[in-house]
Amino acid sequence: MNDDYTTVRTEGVTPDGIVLGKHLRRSKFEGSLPLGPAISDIAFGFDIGGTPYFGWWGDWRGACLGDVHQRPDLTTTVVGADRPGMASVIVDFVDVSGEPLPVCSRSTLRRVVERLGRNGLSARAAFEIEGMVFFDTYDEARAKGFRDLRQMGVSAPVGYLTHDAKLMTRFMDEVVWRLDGIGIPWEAWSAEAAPGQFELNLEPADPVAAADMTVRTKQIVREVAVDLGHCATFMAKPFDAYGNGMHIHHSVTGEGGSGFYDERTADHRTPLMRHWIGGLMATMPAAHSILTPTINSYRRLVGFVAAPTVVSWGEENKSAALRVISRSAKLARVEHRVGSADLNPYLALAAILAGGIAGVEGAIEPPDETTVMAWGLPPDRFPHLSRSITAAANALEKDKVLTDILGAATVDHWVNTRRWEWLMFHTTGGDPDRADVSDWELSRYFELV
Amino acid sequence: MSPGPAHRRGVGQHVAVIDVDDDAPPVVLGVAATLRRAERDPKLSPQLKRMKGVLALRSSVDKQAVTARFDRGRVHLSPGVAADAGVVITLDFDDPKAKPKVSGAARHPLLALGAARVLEPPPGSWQEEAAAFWGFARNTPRMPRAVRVTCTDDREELVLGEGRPDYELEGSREALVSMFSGASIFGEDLLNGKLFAVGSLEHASVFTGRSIAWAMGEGR
Repeated sequence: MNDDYTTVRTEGVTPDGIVLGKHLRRSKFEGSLPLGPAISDIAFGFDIGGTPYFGWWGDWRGACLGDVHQRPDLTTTVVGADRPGMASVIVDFVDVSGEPLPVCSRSTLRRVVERLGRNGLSARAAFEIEGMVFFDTYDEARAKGFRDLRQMGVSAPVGYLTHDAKLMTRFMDEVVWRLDGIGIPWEAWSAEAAPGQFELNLEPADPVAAADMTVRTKQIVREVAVDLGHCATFMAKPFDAYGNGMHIHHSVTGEGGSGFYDERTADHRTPLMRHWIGGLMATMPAAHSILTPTINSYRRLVGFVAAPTVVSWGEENKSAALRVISRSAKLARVEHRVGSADLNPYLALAAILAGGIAGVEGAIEPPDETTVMAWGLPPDRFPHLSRSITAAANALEKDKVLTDILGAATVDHWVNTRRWEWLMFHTTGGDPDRADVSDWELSRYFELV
Repeated sequence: MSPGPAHRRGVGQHVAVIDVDDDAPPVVLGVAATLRRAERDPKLSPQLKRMKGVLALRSSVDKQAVTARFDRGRVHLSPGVAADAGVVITLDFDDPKAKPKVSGAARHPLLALGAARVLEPPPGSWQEEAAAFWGFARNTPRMPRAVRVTCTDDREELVLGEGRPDYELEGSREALVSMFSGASIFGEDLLNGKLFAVGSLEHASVFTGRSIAWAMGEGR
């Protein structure tokens, strides 16, 4: 750690993907080590709308509200150029004895990575981050109910349009300057099809680092929006016409190099990759719950607009849920396209790697490759992704293999919170009959996910 | 706290069949649970088997709505207000004392009158309702081992479960009947001051989970 700071901000992610933390005087922070500063466990006892969860219980909770700790990973300490004097550090949530909590998503991912390591494998991952930016301030957006906002882009629904990008260049220049300032290796950004929509790509990294960088990048986008008097959202479907995805690319390496590529085979795939795909396919209905976490996420899953709708995989097939790339050793990877921009990067990557591990450990063979367009397929012949938060949660609850790898307590909390989200939508003002995005969703998710 | 799979009952000569779709919303599950209570009532079951027509219930405070298609012993419930609903009742699902607004009763008096009866099956005593709930909830992990329930109207007590009570619950007769019959949710009643409890947050939370499931028809 360098010495150029007097304040430390802790950053830890809840299962909902929200960043929680404290700002601490440096001496207070250093005095809290190694466990890190304490927060009340009730921080995990509220839903994203601020209603206390009632209905289940976890061992990690105190009988009458207890403390949990934010144990810092000091290797993640950074001082941003935009905020001299303040360091940020990513934390794991642990109990008073230092044991990671089942609701600590970062610890869940680390546990899954360790299991991958026990199979003699390591992974690298990269997230494609999509979001939307508006000229309105957050205050203005709130006053308008997050509707009829002024998009930071042209109306033409064309991706990669450079004069569309020009409208958001000042905004994105500030974003990438701040990314550079804290050492996040971004690769590219471009205007996406929706007005005011961007896609930002980060370099591949080891799984925990890749998720850390994604969390921080989303945080920076929000902070730039605040600082420049605009607003941004990572809702999966803030408007009827367009959605925000978060495709997750990943590759696996073994002792002999790429675990996915073999130039000697006709399809250039290794048996490991075949089993990896088999595992991802077998666990996809369950992982779906984690990859599309909110009521709003499911609105994105419509055909012919880039989001997958069918449990499917295919070589270089961007209409399938899994786009497999076997062109070369360098490029060999899987792009998991189910996830929406509102996902929790740690949990989502944990679910994906857990699916791959299940395939490897169980030598699962994949179903037939989808070589046709994977939209508009008849549901009686092609299994479709479920269209509701409860159906996906039920599938996760039933998937004992994924539950074993992710951790039973982690999955139990997740499934209960998804059912709670369903209950809140229906009983606190959500509008299930409304075909487009409801006020309830905009109010609940626009600023937070 | 699970919406669970489709709630289907076997077709029988002497029972009404109350049917909901997969992934039905809470209001549909709640009304289905109420109708199943009516079906078990010897006075209301014949009524349920006579009813024919389409009736909708719509919340006066939010977007919750359910359509019930009665077809002489078979009832299918679906979300929303169907266009062909002959009777539409607008009400506050959370406030049984609030007066509902009924439209279509003049044209469909039998349906409206029948609905008024089967949608409000008379509850048992608070002790009977408490015993039924406990039979459903008692084996849930993390539930209290035993609960002392006190009716504040007359201080009459009932202990649910065995051993020394590790949770205490008290409220008026009306509040106890409401919660134990599934007409209201324990956690909400606790927050709203209708019921009071002495015990841990853990027990309150798990008790509420069972109460939600009970209200949505699980276990009955």
